Amino acid sequence: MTSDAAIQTHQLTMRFGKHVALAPLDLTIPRGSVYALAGHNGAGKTTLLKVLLNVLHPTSGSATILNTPATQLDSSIFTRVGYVAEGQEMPEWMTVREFMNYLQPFYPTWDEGTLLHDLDLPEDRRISELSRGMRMKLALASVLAFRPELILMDEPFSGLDPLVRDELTRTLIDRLAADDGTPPTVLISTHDLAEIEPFATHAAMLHNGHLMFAEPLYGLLDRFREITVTLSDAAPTKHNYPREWMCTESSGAMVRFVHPHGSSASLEDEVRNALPSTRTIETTSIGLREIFLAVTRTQRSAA
Amino acid sequence: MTQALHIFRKDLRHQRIDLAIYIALLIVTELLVPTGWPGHWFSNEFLPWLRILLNIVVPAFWLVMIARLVHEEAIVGNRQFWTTRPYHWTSLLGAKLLFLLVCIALPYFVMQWCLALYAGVSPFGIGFLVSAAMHVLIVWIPMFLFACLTPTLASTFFTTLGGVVVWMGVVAFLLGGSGPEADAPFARPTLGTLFAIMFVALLVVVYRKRDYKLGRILMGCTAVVFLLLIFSVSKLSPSSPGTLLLKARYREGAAPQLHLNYVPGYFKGHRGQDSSWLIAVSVPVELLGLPDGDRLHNAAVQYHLEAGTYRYTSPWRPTALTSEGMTLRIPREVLNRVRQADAHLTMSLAAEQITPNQPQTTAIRDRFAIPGDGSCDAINPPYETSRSSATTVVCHFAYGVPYPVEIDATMAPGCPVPMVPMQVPTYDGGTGFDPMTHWPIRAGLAHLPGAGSNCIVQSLTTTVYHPVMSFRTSLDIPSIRLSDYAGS
Repeated sequence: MTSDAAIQTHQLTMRFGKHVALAPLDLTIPRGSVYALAGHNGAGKTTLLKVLLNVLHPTSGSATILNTPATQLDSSIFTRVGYVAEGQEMPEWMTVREFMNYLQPFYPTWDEGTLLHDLDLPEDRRISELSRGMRMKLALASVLAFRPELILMDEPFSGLDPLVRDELTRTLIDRLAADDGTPPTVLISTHDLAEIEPFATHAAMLHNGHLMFAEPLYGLLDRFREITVTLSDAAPTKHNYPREWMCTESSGAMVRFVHPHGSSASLEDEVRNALPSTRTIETTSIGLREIFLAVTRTQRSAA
Repeated sequence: MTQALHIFRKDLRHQRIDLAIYIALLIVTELLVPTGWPGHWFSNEFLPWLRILLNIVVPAFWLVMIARLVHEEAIVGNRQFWTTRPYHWTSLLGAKLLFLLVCIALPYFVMQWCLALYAGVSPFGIGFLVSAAMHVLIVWIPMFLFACLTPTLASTFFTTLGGVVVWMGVVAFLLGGSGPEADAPFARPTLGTLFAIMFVALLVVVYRKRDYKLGRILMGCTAVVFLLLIFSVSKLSPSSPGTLLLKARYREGAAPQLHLNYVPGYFKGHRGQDSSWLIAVSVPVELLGLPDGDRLHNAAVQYHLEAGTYRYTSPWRPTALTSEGMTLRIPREVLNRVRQADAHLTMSLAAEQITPNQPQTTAIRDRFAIPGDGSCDAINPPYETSRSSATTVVCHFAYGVPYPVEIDATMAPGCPVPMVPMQVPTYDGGTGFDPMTHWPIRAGLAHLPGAGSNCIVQSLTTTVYHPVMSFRTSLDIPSIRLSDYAGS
């Protein structure tokens, strides 16, 4: 049975001793999507990716990748799945050219074209001599070259300068436009949400192993709004704001917060109920980064 | 297969410098080993030290090469690039084992073959296969597994070193100061097969599942099973698997014409060599029905003693049946309890009957072949240009001598004839660098008055034994007083 989902997890759980790295997790990643996976350090992003790739074995629950159970991934599936990760070990003694030549016979669909040139990678340099950014570019090139159906990327932009980030992003976007009209599915775990936002179609967020949200990006950006409320008198210093309001700040006669359903028609009633002296309500769209910050701070303060 | 060859070629490129160093070490070994052979005169005092050094360096380099080979696609860890690439586990394991075979085992065996050919012996026999299997099972595969289950070269090195030290300590503890009580060469193929299967299972678990934690547990279990089997086989207690193996190999009644006979009082007082806690007692037992010239090989005995309410059953222990009787090795404490009593002794003898081939006489030349796939060199000392009483004949055998070889010297007329032929002890090969066993024969005797000339060995007569059958036979002695035969 085939599914429209490139990745699907069901009650996927991962524990390291008493530490819960992934709480029971249900996640569906549709084919062709570019899925941004956000979360603070230690949220469980890397663990999730490694469980999906069968590098780590889940404590319970299940996951499928391209309709194959993650625990049964064999070599053939990796001709269709690419993985790029920060800190991934590579054969340091090889040159860039040797590495690509070595990988080529593993993949029947290998077509590196001008990837190395586009990414400005020196072919005769040893991998051990590459900078962090160049290693990441090489890892990406070695994955894009076989045109995988699914690409999983773990912190690909971490610690890279803006130029390299731009090169990586551009190359990735260029290659997303597949010749046959079926673009690959991309799951990117990253802190650099501003970098991914322009081309992500979906976003999910993990916090301490728990999934905070997972949905199409347009819906997410639409419902999360920054709300600025102007009051007729000074804002109360101690006030029990509704629990949904995130990162609530008050200054003088103004209260500002992030609302997860900021585009809702009932927002005005909700605000006036909570703050009867409301004069004006202003809603502003916010980006993925701000959403991430708001959710994380709220979770931390709740903890 | 294609993928395995692709990975193999990559490993070959990666470790080409290691390989060059390894081959250089083997060439040096090849040149140095013969300098330690009997009959070779070298004045350089550093040569023995160099040979010892190479005995350490080459195995250490095996470990380095194997660790680098395995860690190139490491099992331990979760950041290796290869785990998310389309590697078939069978191809990866196959490539690694192919490298082990082609780049580590083959050069080493070629070095040994060259040594054998240099000594004038063909190295290609059953002994080579035994030695190769022992290298694989005792040295290379365990090293390979240690490398699989550790993340770095340093951790592989120290784990292996620690493993060897602990292993030797536990074996010494289990077997005690007395060492193995009976050798069970028949058990080696069985144990070898068993552990080959266990190692294969371990490699499959490690490479297919990539589960190094499970691999570590299984390796520990394998080591424990191995120790228990070694203990069981070497002690050969009555109910051990070793005894079952022995009984399966040496069948009761396989040679009905051979039977033991008790000849009370026929001879007494002969003492074999005692160990710290085992007293050798020669009881007056003879084996009847053995054709003239035939001998026993790998003889072991198990006995049961009853004296009043006291009972003792021995494990299987090596024995010798000579014209002096059969040697029973009895613990000192047991002997003290039954020494003066009328004891009821039952014994079971297991042995191989071997018979001699037609003896063959070979005249001494500079180099000459002898039966049993041996080769001998007549070597003059540097200060002699021709054969003299100082000439030594050294006979070489490759990898081992499974059955005894007797070599008898024929002297020039008028010279004293050696009373007892020299016997090349059996040796079943092992994991030593030098595949050869060397047996020096004194080719000349000192100038004797009246002999007219130096007494020089003129020819050697070689008798090779071959097996006839394995058998087991028993004897019941209702009453025996061991003090009559145990000496003072």
